[in-house]
Amino acid sequence: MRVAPKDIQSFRDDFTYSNSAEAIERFPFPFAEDEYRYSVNMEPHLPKGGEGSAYEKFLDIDEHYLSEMAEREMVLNEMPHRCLAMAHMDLACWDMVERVMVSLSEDYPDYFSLTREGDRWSWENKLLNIKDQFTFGDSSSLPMPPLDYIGRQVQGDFALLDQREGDLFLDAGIITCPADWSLAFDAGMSFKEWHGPVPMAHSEGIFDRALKYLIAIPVGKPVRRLNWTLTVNARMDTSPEKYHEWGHERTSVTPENVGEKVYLRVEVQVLDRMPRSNAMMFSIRTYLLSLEDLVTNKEWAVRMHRAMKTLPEPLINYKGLTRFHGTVVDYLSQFDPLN
Amino acid sequence: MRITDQISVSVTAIKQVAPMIKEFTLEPVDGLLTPFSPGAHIVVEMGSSGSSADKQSYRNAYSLMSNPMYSRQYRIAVRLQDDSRGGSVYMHQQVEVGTQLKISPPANLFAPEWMAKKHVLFAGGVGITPFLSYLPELQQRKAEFELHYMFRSRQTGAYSAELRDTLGTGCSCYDADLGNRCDIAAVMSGQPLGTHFYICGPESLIDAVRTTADAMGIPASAIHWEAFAGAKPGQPFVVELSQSGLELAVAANSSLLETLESADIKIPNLCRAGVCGQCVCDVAEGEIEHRDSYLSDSEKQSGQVMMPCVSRAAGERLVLDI
Amino acid sequence: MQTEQSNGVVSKPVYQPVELNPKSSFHLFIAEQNVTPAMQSLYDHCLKDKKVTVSSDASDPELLKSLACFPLVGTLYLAGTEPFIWRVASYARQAGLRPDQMLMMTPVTRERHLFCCHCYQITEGVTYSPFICAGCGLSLEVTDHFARLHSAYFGYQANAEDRANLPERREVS
Repeated sequence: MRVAPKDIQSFRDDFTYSNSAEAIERFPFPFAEDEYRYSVNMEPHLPKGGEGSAYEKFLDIDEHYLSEMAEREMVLNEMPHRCLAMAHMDLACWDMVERVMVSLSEDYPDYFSLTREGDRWSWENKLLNIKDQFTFGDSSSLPMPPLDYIGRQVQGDFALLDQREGDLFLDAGIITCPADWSLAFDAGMSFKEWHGPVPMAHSEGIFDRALKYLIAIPVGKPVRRLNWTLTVNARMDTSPEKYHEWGHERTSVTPENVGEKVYLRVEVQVLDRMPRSNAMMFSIRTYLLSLEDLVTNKEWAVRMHRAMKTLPEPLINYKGLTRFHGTVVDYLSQFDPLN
Repeated sequence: MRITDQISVSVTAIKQVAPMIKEFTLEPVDGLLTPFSPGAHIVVEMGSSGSSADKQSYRNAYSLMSNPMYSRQYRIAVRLQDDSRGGSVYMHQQVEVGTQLKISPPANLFAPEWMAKKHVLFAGGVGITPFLSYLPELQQRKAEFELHYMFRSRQTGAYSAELRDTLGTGCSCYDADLGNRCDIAAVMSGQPLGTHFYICGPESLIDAVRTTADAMGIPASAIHWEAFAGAKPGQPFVVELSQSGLELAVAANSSLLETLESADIKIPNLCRAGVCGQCVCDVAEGEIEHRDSYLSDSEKQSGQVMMPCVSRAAGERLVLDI
Repeated sequence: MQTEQSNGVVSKPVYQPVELNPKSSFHLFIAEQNVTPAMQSLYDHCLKDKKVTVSSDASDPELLKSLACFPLVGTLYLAGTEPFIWRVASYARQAGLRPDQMLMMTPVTRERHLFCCHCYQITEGVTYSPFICAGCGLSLEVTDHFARLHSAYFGYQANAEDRANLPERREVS
């Protein structure tokens, strides 16, 4: 691994989170055009960008690994319901255990190792000092439920979607760094229901087409898309559950602090068919980059300005940017020669 | 296996399991096969090992019928089709033990509804295959089910003896060549609340079950089916590709998708039966005869998109925007 | 937070006029407390041998009992408040009814149940926004995002960004 895990930094209180120059370089910048356009923008989840890229491996482990795992533990200790799996999702949870363990051990052999002899599996996570033997498929052989167990060892939120009735249902997940949606409330919802609050897309039939496409994804052909928003402070847990604690930060942005206080939050979302359960694994890997780090890349600075400037009003409101969107555009305009 | 386009397998056993049906055991050339879920299918690519253009290649979708948890091999069964456009003849006549084939990873458009209180399975002929992968899981989950298996023993009827032995009263066989018919209405009436019905077989069987359900007032969402028939022949026509100017003749017994593939034009696809939606193409000109069950009525009426795996030109000419 | 959109939140149920399902050979009518005129009219148009009980003001165990012997070819008609309709629908799903076997009549009141995303408590009788959470006491913005499992709408603190600035009270429909 080219980006070695750093010591633990915080995503709350004193916010010591920072990106190294290498982490900035590999940041998955989401805007491919100068004008913002909503699209489903799905592509095959194939490696791209070469060595060290955020897309090099199936699951990206980076310098923030220890910090994110420590943050997840804090969230789950306080609110265990942020991880849940309905009874019929057990097989899907084991599918995910396999997918994650096989990927991590093949892609990062220095940190993770997996030995399989039939159903007898041995797993070692050297980064978190975890070493366990268990029987694959037998939830009682793990120290905690399978989704909880594996979710605490891999960066990103994970949802497991049950496929039935020609639809996808949000029936399991470990969601500790959501961009403003609640697993506890959305659990059990169909694909369109849990996207209910997303503006604009429904009338354009985007979700009908996306759903048909997702339902037909076969084993071994994962797809990805990017999503983004802006977050004030390097806060991973921007959940509705905690909104009453972090909401006021949206009023704290000033022309003086906008560069260091506002972060571009990018989610690399991957949809991957689980072989045994036919469920869909939906992983949401979150990256945070402060605007002042972002503008060190001149091309990104220009793109970012133009994308923010052309962002439609309903999306500004939906993403919760209303209070500081103008300040962000003003700040970015200084980096755009056309301005 | 995480990202896979095609898997190389070799045929390790061939068994005649009914007068018109052969069973093929496929093992990976290297590594293990992925586990799969009950009802999954693969697309088998045949005769494409050579690169020469004159060598005809075929792609057909077949249900996996082995135990889903057993990943050392897959098994499929192939019925020699009367109006075969090539694939089944190739499987029956060209493929031998040791032949290498390319297969797609499994996809599933026909999974059991695990929330069901009871499962009633209707199989017609070689349509028994997806249910063979249902059975181990239904039994393991101790789910309530009954299998109704219709066939003509002079052609099909594979595994009927074994199924009767292992399932006992859970399996009813109807051999039309012995004059036995399934009274579909009798099977469907009196089923308990929460029953789901699954059909795999010829269109006539699917229609019969759906019509019966509708007449009885059984909710449409409790009926699930998989048509194993792929593309059907039609009138020949010419297709023009607007971006390259290329013109291709689509023969009466070839599908548009097959014609495009034989000209090395790659179109994503999974089911090759008008269900999965992967191969959708933009149409610039020409009347379309829609034969798929994927596009919505309004999409069909728009005349701007079509599914080349099963649908054809309604006239003599079609222009695709590719 | 999830804000109200002019083009509508898709998870909010839409209730169409309900007609008798002519294919069904069994009709079960369940109303909360009083049978509505619309339901009475459906009931009256139903053939005598095909229709069954109107269970008014039934307790949950009684409801479950009436669903347990429901036939595969039946149709269920529901009337009452929205939380009641969806609670019974959820029992019916567990009993094995399909969504296309349940016909829901427009709720008799616009009262909502409100799910607080901060304390997970449900507040009843919500007709306007913001509304005080019965669990944690925060003023909650009432959204149109509806969860069938909770029979409730999503609520979040209305003045979390600026405590001094509570949105003006508006009625919810």
